[in-house]
Parts: sequence; C-alpha cells; structure tokens
Amino acid sequence: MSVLLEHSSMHRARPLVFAAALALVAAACTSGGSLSTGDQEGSFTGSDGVASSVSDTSRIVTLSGDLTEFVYELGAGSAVVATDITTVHPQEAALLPKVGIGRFLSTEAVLAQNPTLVIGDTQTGPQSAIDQIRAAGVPVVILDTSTTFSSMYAKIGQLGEILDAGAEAEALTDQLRRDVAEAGAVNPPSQESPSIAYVYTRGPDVMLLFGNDMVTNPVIAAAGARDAGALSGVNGSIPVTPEALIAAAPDIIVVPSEGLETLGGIDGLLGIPGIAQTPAGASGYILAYPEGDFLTLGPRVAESVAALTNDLRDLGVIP
Amino acid sequence: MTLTQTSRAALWFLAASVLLLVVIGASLSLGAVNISITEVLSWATGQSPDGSLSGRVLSGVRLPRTLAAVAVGAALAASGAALQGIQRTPVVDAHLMGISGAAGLGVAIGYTIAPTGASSQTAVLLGVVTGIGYGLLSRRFTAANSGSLVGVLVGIGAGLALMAWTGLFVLLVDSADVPTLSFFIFGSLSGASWALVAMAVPLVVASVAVLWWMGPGLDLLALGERASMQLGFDVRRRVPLALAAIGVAVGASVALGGVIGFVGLIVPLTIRPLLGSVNRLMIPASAIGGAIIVVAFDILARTLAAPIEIPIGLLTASVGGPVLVWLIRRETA
Repeated sequence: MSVLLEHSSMHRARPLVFAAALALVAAACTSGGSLSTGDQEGSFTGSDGVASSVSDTSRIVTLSGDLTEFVYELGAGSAVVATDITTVHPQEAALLPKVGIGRFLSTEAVLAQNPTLVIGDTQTGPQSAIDQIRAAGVPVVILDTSTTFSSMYAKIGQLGEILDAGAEAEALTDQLRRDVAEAGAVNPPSQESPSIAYVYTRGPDVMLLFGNDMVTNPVIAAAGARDAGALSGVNGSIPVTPEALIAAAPDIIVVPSEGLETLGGIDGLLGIPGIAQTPAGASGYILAYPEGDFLTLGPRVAESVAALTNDLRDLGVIP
Repeated sequence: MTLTQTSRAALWFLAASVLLLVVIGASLSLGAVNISITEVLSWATGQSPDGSLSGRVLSGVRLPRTLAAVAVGAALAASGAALQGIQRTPVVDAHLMGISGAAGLGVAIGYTIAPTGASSQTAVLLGVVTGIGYGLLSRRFTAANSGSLVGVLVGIGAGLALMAWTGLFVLLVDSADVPTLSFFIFGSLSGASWALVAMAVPLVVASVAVLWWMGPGLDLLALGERASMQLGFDVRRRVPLALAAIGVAVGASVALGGVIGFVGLIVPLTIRPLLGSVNRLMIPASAIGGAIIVVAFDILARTLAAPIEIPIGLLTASVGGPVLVWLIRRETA
C-alpha cells in the first residue's frame, strides 16, 4: 500500500533554494533579548547582546519567514518594505522585494530598501554584513531562532515590545497556545508512539535528516509522534546517508511536497537508497507538506500541527 | 635609461593612475543601492547631506571595501613581481608559493582565538605572522630550485596542504566568528570593515615600500644568487627580508579579502613587456596594476549576480588559470 497525502488546504510555498533549508539549522540559543529597563526608551537588547535603539518602525526589513508573519499578525505589516526569501506568507509580504537569504545577507541589498529597522534571528549572517548595516546607522535586532513553542511565544513577546504592540502579542500568544493544544494529539508521545523522520529534499542531490533543535521537532511532538532524527542523535540536520536512515528506522517519513515533486513523486523517493529499507518505505507511509508552511514556526503553526495530526489519525497510528 | 624609456614609463604611470581612479569611482558608484557618480563626487567633496542613505553606504560600506580591494591588489601584485625576481621565474606568485594558504590558516586561527572586540586586529596579526613564518620557511625548500619550476611545484603542494588544513580547521571549529570556507579558498571583500582596513592597509603600504626599496637588489638576483653576491647584494640577509615583507603584504591582504589567486601572476606578466624588468618600476607599477584588477574584479563579483556575490577568486582564477597554462608551456618550450 502506498499512501500519499498532499495538502491542498495549505498554502503552496514558493520553491526555496537549498540555502534556505540550511538557514533552518538552528543553533541552541539560551540568551533571550529584552527591553532593558533604565536605558533610554526604545532600546532593545537582542540575543546577540547588542543593544539597538529602535525609535522608528516605519520601514521594516524582516530576515526570516516566521518573523515576517509575526510582524504582520501584530499589525505592523504595512511597515514591512522587504523580506528575505523564506517569506512565503501572507500574500502581500510574499510579493515584497527580497533582499536575499537571511543567512547569506548582502549588506547593500538590505540598505537599498532604506530601512529604519531590520529584524533578524540568530541564523542571520554573516556577522560582517550585520556590522556593516549597523555601521550605516540602521538598527539590526537579532532575536532567538525558535525551535520550541516556548521560545516562539517568547519571541512574540519581544516583537510586541519592539513594535509597541504588547497587548496584541499577548493575545496572539494565548490564541496560539489554545490552537496548538486543540490541533495536536490527545496523548503526548510515548515509547509506543510512531516515529517520524523529517527528510528535507530538493531532489536526489540534497537530502537532509532533521533532528533536535529544528523547527520540525516541536510540531512532530505536538502531533503525538516521536522524532526519529532526534532519537538517533541528530542535532540540527545531517546529510542523509542510507545507513543513517535505516538506523533511524522511521515509521513515517515526512518530506517537503516541492522536493517530492522534483524526485518524481513517491516512486522517485522510494528509489533513493535507504528509503525503501525503512519501515516507512516498506509500508509507504510518506507524508508531504509545502516547506514554506511546515518549516515555519510562525503564526500558522497550528495548521501544520493539525495537518500532521489528522494524517497520523488517518493512517491509524495515533488515537 | 634613455629618454624614450623614461617617458614611456611616465606615460604608463599616468595612464594607470587615471584608470585606477576610474575603477575606484565605478566601485563607489556601482552596487545594489543606486548611487550616481555625481552623488559620489558631491560626497567626496563633502557636499553630501548628513545621514543620507548614499552617504552612509559610501562611507560605511563601499569606501572601506574599495580601499581593501586597492590594498589587496597592490599587495598581491607587488609581492608577485618581487617573488618572480627571487625565484627567477615568471611562473610564480604568493598563491602558487603557498604563502596565501599559510596566511589563510593564520587568519582562521586569529578569528578563532581573538579576544572579544579585537577579531579584525587578531586576524591581521596572525595572518601576517604566518605569512612571514611561511615565507622564511619556503626559502629552505625552494632556494635550491630557484630559476626552475620545481620550486613552484613544491610551493603548490605546500599551498594545497595548507588550504586543506585551513578547511578542516574552519569546519571543525564551526564558529560564527570565523569566515566561511569559501573565503579561504576563493576570497571575498564583502567583510571589509574599517577595523580591518585601518590595521591592514598601513602594513601593505609599508611592505610594498620595502620591496620597492629593495628593487635594485632584486634586479641583481636575475644574474643568479652567486653572481649577485659578488656584485655586493647580501643574499643571505636581503632575500629573507624581502620574503618577510612579502609575508606581511600577503598576510594583510588575506585578512582583508581571503585567498585570491593569480593576481600576482597576471599583473607583472602584463606589465613587464611594457616597462621592462627593472624592479624599481615593476614593483610600484604592479601595485597600481594589481589595484586596478582587484577593484575591477570586485565590481564584477558583486554586480554580476546581485544581490548574491560571486567569490572574487573564481573570477581571477577563470582568467588566471589559462594564463598559467600558457605561461608554463612557454617556459618549458
């Protein structure tokens, strides 16, 4: 049996380049940012420890898809003048000029938008570009790259402070907490829960197994499943080798729908060495979601959780 | 020197200086932010309004980058000319000799061990130290082969090993403070900051001046080391001094723009037929020529596929690789 579920209900993502996937390889982050008390008003200390004076939020450049979506949700969307290429939602943001890839920033592409505020995360780089933009007098606020729900909620709070939208941030956080709880599985993952390997692919030459500290990790857990990559000790992402996949022995494999298309559908995926030898490959339990949706730990995350949970229920692997 | 030779040299320097100013102007004007040459001129004369976007881009991003490109080109080409004198072959430059590779390893280590707030300075310092160290060491295993391509082959082997060690180091350290692997293989001027420029450019100026001052001695080396010693050139002291100056220039240039190949090969090769082999002319002429080439290639690097930058070393190697093949065939024919 071969089960393939594509989700037309979710927004179709633009194809992203491979680098965008690398941009999702999150580093473990501990230090959160805060509006320092006692400082002048509008001074925000980011996750990189740099205090930026944010006085003008009329022209914002966002450097990650989740940041863009949160800024829109907090009511400051009309001030966003450009984004990086990982922004696919909302529609009006997707149509804005792109300044490149957040992780491989071009100083001039950002400055050309004449921004008054640049919002990035700990994945934004290179540091020299951030330094140059700051040297040109434009504040660059660096937030945590969230790979857990709690750090995502903290990030919403920080954006609320920066954008002077504290009440909106609180309301959004409450709403998301409820939505995620409602969308997710009844039971938290246990030893008996199915294991899911998220395999990022852009075609046969680009195959990455995601694990801990990745945006997919909390979504898999919320859907009541175990993360096969994390269980086999993968931190961030590693290039897939047949051995690594067989060792991870996932019951289900999740891939981006764009990548599955490039591979020529499910048969193409099963032709990749190692895939067919996993329990998921043997049973044909392959799920695919557009990467711009599934790989964004943003305001639409409850939709991703709901989609995965419902598909796992349809497969009969969770109650 | 006859009058015609003198006037030809004067004419060359005049034309090259004008060309250098033109490419510097283009480098300041071209980029993702639209800045007209009129705006550049009014900024340069201090008439640009305070805090304007173009003013901030020019003084914060493009001026340090352009200065870095000038310094990198001058350092690599002048070093190339001097090395060709020392090795008595036109088929050599700091990259082929492995000096750039050694400096790259030093720069990578510098960024790793740098105290907070002093990363640029530490990187330049370690790049220069390893550049000098390797330059002096290279004398031990290439001196016997000066005048033949064997010395160059030894340098290429050492350079490849150093590049591999740098790559391993960068990947194993895996730190956001260290530039990417690409910087140490194909170079990039995108990280040029005032901190780097302030530290590295004076070192380049000083070391190129030392090489220029040593020019007549390097001329004598063309007769062979024994003959030049008989003519009063203290080979045992002066050659290591020249190699140390080359180490300083190359170390500073690698800290500024990473490992960029072939500039030191192509530029003296192009200039020598026009100006002859006199190093008092060749070294400053190569410095200017190298500056022109690197500024021009950097403009291409950041505009051809904007907003994504092409590593500048890919462009110099695209041209320099075939030149090297042609040169070796000519030398061995």
